[in-house]
Amino acid sequence: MNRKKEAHKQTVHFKSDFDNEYLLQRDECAIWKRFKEGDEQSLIYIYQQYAGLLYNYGSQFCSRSEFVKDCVQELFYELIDRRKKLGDVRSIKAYLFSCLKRKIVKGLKKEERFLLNEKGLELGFMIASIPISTQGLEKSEYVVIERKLNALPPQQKEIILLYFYEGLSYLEIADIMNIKVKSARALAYRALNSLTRLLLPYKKKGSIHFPL
Amino acid sequence: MAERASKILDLLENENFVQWVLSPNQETNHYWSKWLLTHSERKEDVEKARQIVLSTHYKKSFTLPDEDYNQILSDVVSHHRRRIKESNDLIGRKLFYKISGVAAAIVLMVGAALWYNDNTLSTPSEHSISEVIRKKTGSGQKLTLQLPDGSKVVLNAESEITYAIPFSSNREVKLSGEAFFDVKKDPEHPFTVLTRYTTTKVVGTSFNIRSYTYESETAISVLTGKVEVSDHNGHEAALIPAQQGVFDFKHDQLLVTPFSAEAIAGWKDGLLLFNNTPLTEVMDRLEKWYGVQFEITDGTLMEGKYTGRYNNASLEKILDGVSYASGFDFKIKDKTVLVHKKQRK
Repeated sequence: MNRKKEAHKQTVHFKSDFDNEYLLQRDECAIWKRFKEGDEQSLIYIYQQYAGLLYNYGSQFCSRSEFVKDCVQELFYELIDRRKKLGDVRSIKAYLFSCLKRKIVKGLKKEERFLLNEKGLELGFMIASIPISTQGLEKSEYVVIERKLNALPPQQKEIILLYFYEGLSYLEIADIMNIKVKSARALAYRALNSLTRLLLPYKKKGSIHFPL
Repeated sequence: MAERASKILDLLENENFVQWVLSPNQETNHYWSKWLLTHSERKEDVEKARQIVLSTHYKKSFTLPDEDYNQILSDVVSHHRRRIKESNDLIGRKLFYKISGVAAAIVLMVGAALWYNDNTLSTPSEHSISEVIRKKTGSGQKLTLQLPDGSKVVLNAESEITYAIPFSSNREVKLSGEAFFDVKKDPEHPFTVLTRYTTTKVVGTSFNIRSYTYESETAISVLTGKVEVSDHNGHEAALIPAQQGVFDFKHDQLLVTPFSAEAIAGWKDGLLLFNNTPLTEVMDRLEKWYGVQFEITDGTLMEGKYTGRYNNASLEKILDGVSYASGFDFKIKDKTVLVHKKQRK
């Protein structure tokens, strides 16, 4: 009976707002470490930060939302089951993204309903180039950029999105795409090179030359 | 021209630059503004590169619907707790099953039910308040109402809610029974729900409260937002989505547990869930849900458990399923369900 009381105390004093310093400071190394030790708040933090992003990312190469949802849920279950065996991670986001991607690819292959192109996932990663300001770029440039980006090989499209949209570093991207950091840099360079060459020269520098 | 392009390329290739554009902080702001001071001719390049980074989006973005988000969170937290308990000692394990039993929100019928007592909802003092509004549902009824401040309340069967007008400056309601609240956000006027022993305080959120006077427990289950709960004995907790606080008055304790949003708040959408539910409880819930009475004519034993999921189904349809699984026959006569042994053919 005494023991029960104690355990009950524990649950009552579960503080739910993130009042711990490591959570407030978003110190991801500390959060990951606490998660590995079984800390529930850290788990909830990780979920709240990344569940939505994971779902969006997964949906890019698999259109069946139920399947993607299941993959996200399973991913968290597996993290919990293996938490003691997990290593330290450089970036939680990159780690989760790479796990999710592996899971989806594996699941789709198993079903053999989608024959996956090993070079990349043909299904997804359409890029939109949305004008966000009248400064900097010409309207026509957005159009050209978008067209060019979508004409890139799938792997290059993915890298552009991970790099420009998800804000991941080359190191993190290499983890997700299962390539070397060097190759990630090279891939990004190739994509960006073909992109920047499309840009218009500055108006004041002379006549407008439309490159295509 | 080619030179320009390569200069922009330089910037885009630089991950420090990209991360500054996407999520600037004090340190990187300082660095890049200083850099621009010494490279003022690169200002236009920086602007172009910035625009390219910021304009890149997924052509289609997919949002995880709130319901799924909450459901998965609640499942994940339950899974986590289960694993933690398992890795603890045996006592811990036993406790978990006890908690998960509560989380399943199994109705604890307390002997001869303490039926409604109008006095439990004392009317606020008449001097200061001009009008008291009282809404009540009978068995088999549900009621959706909007409070003067725009908050939404769905009242389950055999429940009652009272509040005083003017309401918006003093958002306080009294509840007996079960209700789902979707509270309009108003940080200056907290929204309070009083039940017999508990106080639930929120700013803007949605949650379910189950507090039938004939049950020895009151459960507050949070779907969105943050909720503070307390009872007359000083137990209190702050709850976040996917958590529920269960006040167990019999043992004078408060448990915070995860819950399934569907099992707890599904009722407001007409969802009736049985998950390995004892037959006697299935009948109790059907009685309340449809406003009927069961009559067992020939001593048929109501033993066993039933699992099923019904979305706005008719009583007959549900009984078809239950009776088939449990081996009895039934007949619906007005508001009475007659149950008898299956006739051998």
